[in-house]
Amino acid sequence: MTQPGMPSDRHDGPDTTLEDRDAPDPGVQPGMGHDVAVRTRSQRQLILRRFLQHRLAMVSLVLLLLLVAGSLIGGTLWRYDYAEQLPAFNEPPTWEHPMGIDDIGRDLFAKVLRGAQRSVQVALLVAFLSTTVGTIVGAIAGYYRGIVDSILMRITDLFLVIPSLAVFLLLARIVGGGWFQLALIIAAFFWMPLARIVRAEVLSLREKEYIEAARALGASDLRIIGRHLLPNAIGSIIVNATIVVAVAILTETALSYLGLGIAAPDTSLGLLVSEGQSAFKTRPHLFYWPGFLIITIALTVNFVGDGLRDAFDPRQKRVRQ
Amino acid sequence: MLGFVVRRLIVSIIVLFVASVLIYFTVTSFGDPLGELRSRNPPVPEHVIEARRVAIGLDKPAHERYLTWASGVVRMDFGDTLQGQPVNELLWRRLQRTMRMVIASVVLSLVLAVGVGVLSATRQYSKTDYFFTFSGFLFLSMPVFWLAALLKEFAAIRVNQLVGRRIIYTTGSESPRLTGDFWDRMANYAGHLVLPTIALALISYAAWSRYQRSSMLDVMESDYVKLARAKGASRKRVVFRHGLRNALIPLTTVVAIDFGAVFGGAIITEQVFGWSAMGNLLIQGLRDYDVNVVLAWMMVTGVLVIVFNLIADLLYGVLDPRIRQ
Repeated sequence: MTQPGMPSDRHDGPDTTLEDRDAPDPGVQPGMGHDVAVRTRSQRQLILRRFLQHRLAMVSLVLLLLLVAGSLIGGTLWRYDYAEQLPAFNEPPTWEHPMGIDDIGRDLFAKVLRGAQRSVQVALLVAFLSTTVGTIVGAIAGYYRGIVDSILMRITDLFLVIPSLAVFLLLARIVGGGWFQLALIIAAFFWMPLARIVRAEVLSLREKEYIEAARALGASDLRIIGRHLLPNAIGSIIVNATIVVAVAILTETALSYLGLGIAAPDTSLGLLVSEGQSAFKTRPHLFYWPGFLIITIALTVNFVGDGLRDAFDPRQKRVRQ
Repeated sequence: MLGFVVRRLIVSIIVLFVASVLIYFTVTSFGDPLGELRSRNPPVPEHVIEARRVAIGLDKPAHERYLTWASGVVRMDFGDTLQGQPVNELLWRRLQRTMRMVIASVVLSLVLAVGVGVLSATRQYSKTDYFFTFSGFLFLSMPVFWLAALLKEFAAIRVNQLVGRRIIYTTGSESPRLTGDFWDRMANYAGHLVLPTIALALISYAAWSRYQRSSMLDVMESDYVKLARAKGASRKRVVFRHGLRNALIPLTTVVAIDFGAVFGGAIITEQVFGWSAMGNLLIQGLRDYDVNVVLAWMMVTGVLVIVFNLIADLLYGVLDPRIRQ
């Protein structure tokens, strides 16, 4: 059944010469997946190499991972809890309390750690949910076509008229200040751009001959989508996920800053900025640090996304070699 | 072109209608405007709450209330707030203020975006280009409220000290009980407007300048630009007459799509600078679950976004002769 070199295998573009030089991977099952697996692997290596050579993206990635890990577990490692009431209050920064103590006796560094944790949790959950839903809906809409597409277009029309921030404010007011609910309502609208991107890619790929060949070989719809269509859209999906992380953290902090997102006694970086601003004269660092954290996370995510975009599609190079 | 505009207008009005239905029923079925009254301590007697319920019309079914609201809106009457004040009274003053900020910041960020985009594109991979690329990414990653607060706490005080008198204000959209002649009033408006405008403009300029840069790069690579150079047109002429004119076309679409986001950003900057304008109205309306106020904001903003989009479409026709038919 296997017919190596059949046009159906050459879905990755014209440069198929590497195919013959690569030794077949013994772990790969014989059959349809054989040559495809070898191709995707070398393609993957090329992309990985391009990304590893992107200096700005690599530095950003390391910094980002440190920040995310620090945000997620920092609160548990620090000696004070964000809700713990200490005997002292209104203290300036000391070695014991690097950001001081607020007016009701809580360690401010612990509060900033807690805020960072919440904001990062929301951003990651939004990225995970919206990427999953966007990919599935986009793949189904592109593969089976049908009404999903027109529904997506109509919701997009809606957002062209009503600013999305207003809709988020409305929903945040209704569902209340939990971080999980907040992530759900943000994710509920963030999956749509990705769904449209995936749909467009699937729509054009599904007409290719290698898909026809896969279908002729008896591959199920699920296998065609999962093995042959989505891997070709993975670049757009990953790049979009990074953009979502950056936009989600900006959205969540804006909602919390306006008082309709994460609410006291819990805290988020946006809420901390708002508190820091009202005490700007006495504790300016409470304004600066949460802001720096938001900017650094969003900036490094954007740089990583930019590096990934360059790695997946070198023709669209935007920043540097 | 006219057919296109009319079709766009009809679709937009339908979308606006659907949005009003969705928002009306979301707010009325999930939000309780009497919640604050019910949770008061000591408790408010039941008959008082009941009287209040009737007074604001909550005893009628939701679809009936929606129809009453909609028939009012057709006559440009947005109904009353929960406190019984006509929404229209609140609306126009505030709208004027928000429009001041939105228009000023769109103009400023367009000027910045086009300037920076052209500069980076004509000097691709130079130090200037890298600087603007980095600062573009920086502003893209910056929360509006943080930048706005930073400008408020820092820039204003510095500038005022430098000049020796107060020319930049950090709170409100104009001084209360403003007197003086026309020019005094304008100076006062401008002094209040500077910082919010800069904050809002810097955020949207970042993305727009990236688009402008890449579309400028595309155009400068095209054959007709090379031909113009080969025929001996000066570099300046080629960049501005042949390059920029065509490179502006994609930006028009991007800006049109982003108008909604600018209005969204205005909610935040208004809040930071303590403007009693549209954003403040929306947030207050949401806090009280005052559906008339929330919807007035949505409808007015929606209509404005539609109007700006139409202007962008018409501009598109002016810039691109191919679609003028």
